[in-house]
Amino acid sequence: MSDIKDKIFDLVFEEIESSDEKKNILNAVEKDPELKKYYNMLKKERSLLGSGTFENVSDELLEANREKLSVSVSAESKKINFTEIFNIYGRKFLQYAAVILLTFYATMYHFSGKTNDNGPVESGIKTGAIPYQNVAVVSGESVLEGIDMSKYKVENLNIDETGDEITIDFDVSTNKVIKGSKNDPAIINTLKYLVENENNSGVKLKTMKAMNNNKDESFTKTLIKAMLEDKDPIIRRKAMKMVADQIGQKEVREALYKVVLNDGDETNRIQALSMLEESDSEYAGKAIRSASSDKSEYFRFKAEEINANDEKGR
Amino acid sequence: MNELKRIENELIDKAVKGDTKAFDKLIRKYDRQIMNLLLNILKNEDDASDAYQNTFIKVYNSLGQFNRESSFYTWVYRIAVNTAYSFYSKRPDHAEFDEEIHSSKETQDFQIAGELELTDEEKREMVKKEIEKLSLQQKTVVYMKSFEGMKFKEIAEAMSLNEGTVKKYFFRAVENIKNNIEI
Repeated sequence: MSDIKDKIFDLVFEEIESSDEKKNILNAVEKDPELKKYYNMLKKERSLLGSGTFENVSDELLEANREKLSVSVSAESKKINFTEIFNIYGRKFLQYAAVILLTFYATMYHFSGKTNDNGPVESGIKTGAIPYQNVAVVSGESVLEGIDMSKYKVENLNIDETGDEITIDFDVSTNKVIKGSKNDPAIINTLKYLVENENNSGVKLKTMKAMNNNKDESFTKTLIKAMLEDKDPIIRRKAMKMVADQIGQKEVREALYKVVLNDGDETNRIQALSMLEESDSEYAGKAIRSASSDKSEYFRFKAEEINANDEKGR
Repeated sequence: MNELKRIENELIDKAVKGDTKAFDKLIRKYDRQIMNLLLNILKNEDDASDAYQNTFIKVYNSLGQFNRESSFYTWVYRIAVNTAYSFYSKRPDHAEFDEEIHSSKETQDFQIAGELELTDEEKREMVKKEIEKLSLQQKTVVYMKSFEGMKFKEIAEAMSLNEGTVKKYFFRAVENIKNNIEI
């Protein structure tokens, strides 16, 4: 990092206190578009790590701990402080013992006349560089047959869409690239595979974006599976939104109804309920009925609100 | 010596002599921050509470060794960080205690168009998850810098590291989070 970039970093992360220095750095930033870009990027990063990202202790928990500590400290103050005793007497004793031992060894060494005649020790550990494999699969026709996807960890996933072609670069360490047209079964299967099997939510979101731009009928099944089974509520919510335009399909409405009944996330249940309400289907009525006897007060309230808005609209 | 430092030293003197009320006053100034630190590192109220007790008992028992030239606040912080690390390493499920091991390389994309755009709340949720994936040291530095607003020099002192290393941890942590969510 160059010196000025170091200073910009310090400025953004509040390491600089002098207002003159701050002004000078800001002037330099204003004059140079590249530095401005860097400055704005750092500001974005800083806002990303806002205080809302961290846990804050509740007053009750803190008070409970203070009370407990008060009792422990009181008990501690009544104990004999061995550390202090050691600090006064123990350290002195160890110092004397060390001097005596060193004198003894020096004397023994002097009279023995021996020297260390061992040669240099060669380590038995051999290291070898791991050969770099460059595996590029162009238009992988049998992605899921020829390549066992489970053997690859998706790293730095990059899905590049140019015209009618998609390149999925999913494993940088082996440079594994799958390239093909948008309707290539290999591409479609890989996208589906990533949404269904990847653990990382970011990878899934990126893949879902590619799916959204590349509508294929077979994606619906994958998205329904994601909205019902994915462990991340955000992924389930996004999958729901992606099938919104296919609400005419019975299996989509059925899945949404299941979300209303079973999803662990209230936002998702409300989202599914309002999607069903808009679809004006038999599932909407069923969903509203279920919601009105739901144990969550907030969910019941939202269900009534959706229902009232819907009636007003009619 | 400023007034606050003088009062702090008086309280330390009294606490060293066994005055528990003075000790109580002394730590009330910082114990909320310490509890927040423990909570954010250990992510568990029970562990954080135990670590809080251990930290302040250690502080009480070692007050006599505190070097008055340095800051009491960073000294307490150092004890708290070490206690938290020791709790963390004793957990049966803890991963390798290594700086790089938690560095996730998965790329995530938050700039999803239209319906897939993440709300601020969702972004915050994702950032929280990314912070969880950081190494313990990176997580500690990110917390101290972003939540406590500590200077790198203070963090370095509290973590017994040099300032350059702390900056490196922070820089890498931010890079990891940024790369993984591509905001």
